[in-house]
Amino acid sequence: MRCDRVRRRLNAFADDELDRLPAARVAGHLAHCPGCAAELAQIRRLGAAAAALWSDAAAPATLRARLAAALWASSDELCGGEDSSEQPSLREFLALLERKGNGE
Amino acid sequence: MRPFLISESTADSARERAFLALYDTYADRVYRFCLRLCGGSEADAEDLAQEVFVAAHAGLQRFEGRSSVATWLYRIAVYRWRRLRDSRARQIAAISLDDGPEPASTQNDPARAGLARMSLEGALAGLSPDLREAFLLVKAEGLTYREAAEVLGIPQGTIQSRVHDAVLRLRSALSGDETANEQRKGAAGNAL
Repeated sequence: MRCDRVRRRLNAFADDELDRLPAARVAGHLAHCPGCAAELAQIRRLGAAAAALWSDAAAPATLRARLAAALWASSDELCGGEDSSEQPSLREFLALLERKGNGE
Repeated sequence: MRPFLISESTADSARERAFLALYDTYADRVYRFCLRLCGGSEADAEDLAQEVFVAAHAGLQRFEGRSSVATWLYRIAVYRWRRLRDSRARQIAAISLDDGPEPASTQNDPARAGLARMSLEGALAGLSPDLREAFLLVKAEGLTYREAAEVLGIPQGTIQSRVHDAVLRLRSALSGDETANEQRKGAAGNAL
């Protein structure tokens, strides 16, 4: 496989998005081509840097309060303060959240 | 239905508990994505995250579980970010029409442009919105191409080419990498 063809696939290779056969071809080329291997390392460094950007940021405490105020205001506008009955889809949603929480 | 003050003690219906669970599970992740979309502006990110959760609250009953909850929230975030961005662009256009010439842009300020080139944040800001969305979803948020395609409502192949293009442009912006520039030109040539 020529370097130019490999380099067009390097990003998808770095993202584990190549099918098995093309991935094996790229890996085979990388084993003996320092230039393409260096390019892959650069792509991976860029990906790692992007993942690290603001990675330690957490939702500020003020967001909860602002959200509650916004929901309260929209409820007054839309519902006039009346209660609505519980919908079956909500129970399904809760179950879905539980399943997601259990890693399914 | 009266909404709640987002605390366990006052969440007394299934809808409230569902939304509370959703908020507790995804608030940090959604906020971080908003922060990345907004280029690190905490005020904009908080505004955007609030809009995302207000929309999620309104749409909770319509959520059918066909996509993952995270994908659904990312989709809302992208849609709201585009609206926010368009509205800001209209405001800036209106100000510039009303008040005379625009202030000097980053592109015309070599010192600021130089600073921007040195950081990934600056380089990201220089990407088109389409490329930035695709790049952030895949590289920063860790979505697969299929998931990112679902969020943006575009084919998987388009995600692949957008992420590829974004990587070439970012490498070029960050390092003045001639190889990346040449590849980008080559890719543009091949597309014609």
